[in-house]
Amino acid sequence: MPRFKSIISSALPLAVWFVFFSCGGQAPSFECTDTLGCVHVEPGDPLKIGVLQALSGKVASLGMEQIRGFELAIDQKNGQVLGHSFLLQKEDTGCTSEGGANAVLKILADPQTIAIFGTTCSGAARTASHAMSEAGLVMISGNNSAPFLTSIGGKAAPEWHPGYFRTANNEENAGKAAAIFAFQKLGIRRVATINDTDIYTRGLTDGFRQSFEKQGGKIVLDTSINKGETVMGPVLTAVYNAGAQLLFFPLFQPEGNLILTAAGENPELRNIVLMSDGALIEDSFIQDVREKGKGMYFVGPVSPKNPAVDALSRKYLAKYTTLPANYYYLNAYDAAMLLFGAIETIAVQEADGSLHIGRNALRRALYATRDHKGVTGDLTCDEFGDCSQAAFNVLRLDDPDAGVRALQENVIFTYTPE
Amino acid sequence: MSISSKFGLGGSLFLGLIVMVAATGYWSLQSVRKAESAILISSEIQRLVLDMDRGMEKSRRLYNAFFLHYPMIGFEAAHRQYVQPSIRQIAKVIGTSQLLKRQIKLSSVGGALQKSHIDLNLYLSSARRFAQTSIESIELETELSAPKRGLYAQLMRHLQALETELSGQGHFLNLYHEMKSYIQEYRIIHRRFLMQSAFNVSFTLYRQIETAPILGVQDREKITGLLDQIIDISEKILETDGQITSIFNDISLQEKTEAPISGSLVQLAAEEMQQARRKIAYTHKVTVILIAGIALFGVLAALGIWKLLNDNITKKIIRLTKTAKEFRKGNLGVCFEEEGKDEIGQLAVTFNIMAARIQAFVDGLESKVEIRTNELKSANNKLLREVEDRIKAQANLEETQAILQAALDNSQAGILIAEARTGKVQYINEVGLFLMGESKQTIGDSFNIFTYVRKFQGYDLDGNLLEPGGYPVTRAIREGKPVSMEYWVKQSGREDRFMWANAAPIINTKGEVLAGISIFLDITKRKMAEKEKETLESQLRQVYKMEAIGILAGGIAHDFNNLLAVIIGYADLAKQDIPGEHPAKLQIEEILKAGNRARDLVKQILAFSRKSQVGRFPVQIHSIVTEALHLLRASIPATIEIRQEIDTECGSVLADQTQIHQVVLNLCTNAAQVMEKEGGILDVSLTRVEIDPARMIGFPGLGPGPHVKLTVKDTGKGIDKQILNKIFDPYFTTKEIGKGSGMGLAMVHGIVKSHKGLIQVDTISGMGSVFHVYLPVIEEEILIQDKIITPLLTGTEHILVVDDEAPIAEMTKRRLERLGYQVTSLTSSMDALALFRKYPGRFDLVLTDQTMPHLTGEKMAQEMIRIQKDIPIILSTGYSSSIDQEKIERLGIRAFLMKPTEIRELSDCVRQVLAGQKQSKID
Repeated sequence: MPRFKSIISSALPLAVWFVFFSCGGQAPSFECTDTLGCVHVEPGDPLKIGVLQALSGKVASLGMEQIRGFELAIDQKNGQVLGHSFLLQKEDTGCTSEGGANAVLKILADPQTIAIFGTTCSGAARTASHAMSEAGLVMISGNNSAPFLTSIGGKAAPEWHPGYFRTANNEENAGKAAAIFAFQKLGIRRVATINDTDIYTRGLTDGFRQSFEKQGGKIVLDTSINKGETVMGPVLTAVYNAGAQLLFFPLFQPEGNLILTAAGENPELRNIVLMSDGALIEDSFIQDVREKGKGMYFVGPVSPKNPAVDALSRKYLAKYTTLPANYYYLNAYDAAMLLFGAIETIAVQEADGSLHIGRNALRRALYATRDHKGVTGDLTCDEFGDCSQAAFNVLRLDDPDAGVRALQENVIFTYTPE
Repeated sequence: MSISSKFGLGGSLFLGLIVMVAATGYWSLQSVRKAESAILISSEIQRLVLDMDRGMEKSRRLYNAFFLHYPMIGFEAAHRQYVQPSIRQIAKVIGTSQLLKRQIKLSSVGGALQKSHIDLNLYLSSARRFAQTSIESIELETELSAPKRGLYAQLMRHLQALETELSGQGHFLNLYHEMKSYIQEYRIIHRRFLMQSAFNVSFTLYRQIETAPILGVQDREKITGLLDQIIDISEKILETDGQITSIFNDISLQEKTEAPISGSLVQLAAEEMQQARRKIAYTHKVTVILIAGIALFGVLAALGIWKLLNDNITKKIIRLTKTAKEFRKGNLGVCFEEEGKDEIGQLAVTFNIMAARIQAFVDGLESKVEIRTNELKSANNKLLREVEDRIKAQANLEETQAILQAALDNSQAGILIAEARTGKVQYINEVGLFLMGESKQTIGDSFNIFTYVRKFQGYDLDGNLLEPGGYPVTRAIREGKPVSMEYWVKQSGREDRFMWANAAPIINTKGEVLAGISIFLDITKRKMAEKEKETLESQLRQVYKMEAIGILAGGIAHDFNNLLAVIIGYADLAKQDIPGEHPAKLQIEEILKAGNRARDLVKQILAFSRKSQVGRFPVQIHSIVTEALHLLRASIPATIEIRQEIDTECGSVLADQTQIHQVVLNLCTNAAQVMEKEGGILDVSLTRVEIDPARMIGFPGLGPGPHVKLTVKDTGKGIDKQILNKIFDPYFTTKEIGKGSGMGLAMVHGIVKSHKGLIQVDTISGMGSVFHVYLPVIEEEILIQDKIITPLLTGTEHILVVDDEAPIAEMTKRRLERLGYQVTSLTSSMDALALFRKYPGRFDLVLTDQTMPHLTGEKMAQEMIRIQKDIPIILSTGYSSSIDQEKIERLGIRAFLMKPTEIRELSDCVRQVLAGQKQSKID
């Protein structure tokens, strides 16, 4: 009996210690009151970010620059935010709306996904942002510029969905910039436009048309090609038949490349002025078209120039051992930093390091962004998700050999919306 | 280690073995069960995944079949045959995926499978998107290809119309056909550039039509209009086609998304099953090893325990048994060699000690036997001596018993001993029998105290009936402790008697009550003597009380008389001053009457307290009763009606008027008080009755002959019969404190008795009471003394009036001056003496109060007489117990007046004293 008692008496304190530490040590549980729900990140678990970018095809380079810009932002944070690393789920949107729709489903299947970085192409963003918004997430893009995704004329655009943000410029005025340049600087009076039915390209051509016709010009042909089309002869014949002085074709690769090549091969079009958009301000395009693109105009957002850009470009070089193919990685970097800052602001961190991130709180934090010092300038997000100030340059490719950097420096015309 | 510990160790090992076997069995069972469960779940998951996949595949096939078959069977039929089943299939797939998700969540599958809920979410979303997009695409296709209303149908119609318009225009027709061929080619391969080529041709045609001279305006407009419509429709076709293409891409992407998921799930489920099978195999292996190990351990443990027990217990016990046998045979020197510290070792040590002791014991036994024999011899002698002593003691005891018996038998008190259990009286002395009223013959052999006490009733001093067990001896037996008590006994055939008894229990060494012994006495005489003594003491206390009242009354009388002297004196003076017809004269006479009554009342009180005779004269009772009733009417409530029946011829009584007056007032006042609250009738009657000698027994204390009967009757609540005999006791009252002193009826009773009368009372509860007062009638002629009004005696002498009460001194001075005297009045006896000493011849008479500060009247008179021997002095007082007639004469004081003094009395006394006559009056 004394031995039994000694066993009990020695076990009892142990049991008490166990109960105390297992019960007393537990912190009071977090109660999520966010209207869109919360993501709970366990201690040591990474922050899961969905990445929707064009990872295949000719536009993959644009997608890759976006990812690199994001990665540089992660490096800037030493790989962690609030003590948690990142897990990026990358899905290929293929720069199509259906691609965006399917890719976003993969992201949304995991309820641990905190936010989405993307897309590359506005067409993919159209379907992806809809699904994302309905799921209560936020999506921030460093590349989408179609006005249809945010606002047109200060009003919500048809494809605007709450939770969508971008640090790339709203190019509702890009077409306008091109039209003003064409009309006022080049004296063009007859223009043909070709888009690929994508909301981005169509937005640009629509913007161009409205401004050009307002100035008194005439759009002699407003047509489209399908993405993936390879035979451009007939559409260029139509351009010729229309008697256009300028062909405005804001397309992606490879369609833009094929148009340019076909135009070059058509002697009837040798005098036509060719103008495209920022999607082709890309070193891979220049390398593909080379001399054929000489003299071609591009309308795109003003590229930022400041010490922060220089510093970041050095980091880019150090990490990827190559110069950036375009400057859109800067927008991606700013997009990532905005996102990280918002997470840091609204996340509720427990003593054990776990995080509770309210989805609606994250949206509100992004909408509340004011004068954030980005590498691309001061960023302030409006109610439709546009975070950057739009200003557009018209560039001209005079020296293909000098690459995209020379093109970016060769500013022929700058337009800043009022 | 003790044997218990060794057995405990063995037991613990066996218990441990059993526990290990049980634990192994339990663990293996649990593992196998879990594995089986995992296999079943995994099978189910696989089945569900395959179902899901098959459903999805079937849905896609049906969807694709729609596009293949609708051109042949029509949209409606194709929709019914392919689209609807496809959608239903999708719905099933969605349900299956949700079921699968739940199954995975609720089951205890591995982590990888648990995490597959993400893939299931994607599968579900993708399936839903397929449903949505498939419907969209079908709608677009319908828009495109519906017969008659579809875009293609429209385009064909327009082309047909254009062809009709261009018929006969060869060149234009060529362009038309070129355009149409591009369109038809587009329709087949859906390449936009073909339609663009068609647009280009239409542009050319358009241009040529516009400028063709052979066409009329109308024709031109018609043709260009058709061309415009064709272009529009074609644009729409392109747009719709673009959307359909996008949807097909979408569906293709969905398929690519879904395919790996189902494969992954099936794979994971198969892995789960595989893992479960491996777990079963592992469990089997481990269980076999454990069982083998436990068995081996068990065998080894058993061998070890056997050896332990054998070496430590069995062998030792065998050796110990052999040693014990040797010892039993008589080998007392045998020794068990064992040095262990366990129980057997201790047993060995004990055995050895015991053997050594036995040996020593045997060795010393003989010498002890001899010693013991000698001791027995001496003990035997001692015993014989003790027997002799006991015989002597027995003889002494018998002698003592005889003495004791004689003492008990001759005791003056009753002594009784009763058995506790049965109550049988074992002994009772003669006195006891006598006190109980029994004899040896009457009690016989079965005299039982328990039954005896039921023959009479016993009561304690509070009057409570005693139970059979409540008598002293029965109580002592019952309670086991001494009891002493007094009680009185009622027994038929005998007088009630008071008993005292002291009983005690007889208790044996075990504390049991064997019997009760009681000593009892008849204390009836002593009790009666005590009661008588109590009565005498009560009467003595009453005497002391009355004496105290007398002293008090004396003290009050003096002051009261002084006040009355002022009242009566000034009333007298006022009466003299008022003319005869003045109405105030009557009122002053009433004042004087009341004052005189008050004076008489004070006399009554003094008389009552001194129990002295008062002055009695033949009085007409009827006038006193009438006057008393007249006074009473004013003082009692109007709710009480007074009825009177006064016989004015009832006769005279030798009585003190004032006392009779008091009797009537007290009786009527008492009657009025009982009717005070509710009203009633006070009936007073005065009649003459004749007491018949034969009926005198009903009138104790009365003689035969005529009597006046005064009856006072009320209609109150009556008098309680229990207190009826106390109502005439002094201080007895039923009224509240302050309402009555309890002396009223006592005074009435005293007065009636002193007048040789009788007072009787009858009462009926709730109806009222009636008092009858009988007073003997006197036959002498009544001399009705009317008041003769003679003139007051006057004089001219000089009178010195001394009284410390200034109003009395002044009043006396005025009265004497009215009588013609010359008066000097002083309020200080010291001043008066000084004046008299100075002018002794000035005064003819000194009229002085007795009770004065510093120098009493008596002392002052003595001094004055010493100064002038023949000075006449009249002493006046309200009351003084120190003054009587004898003392006055001794002091040389000529007369004594009691205050208050009427004017006539004053004038007579003064004149008489001055005339040299000696007068004294003591009231």
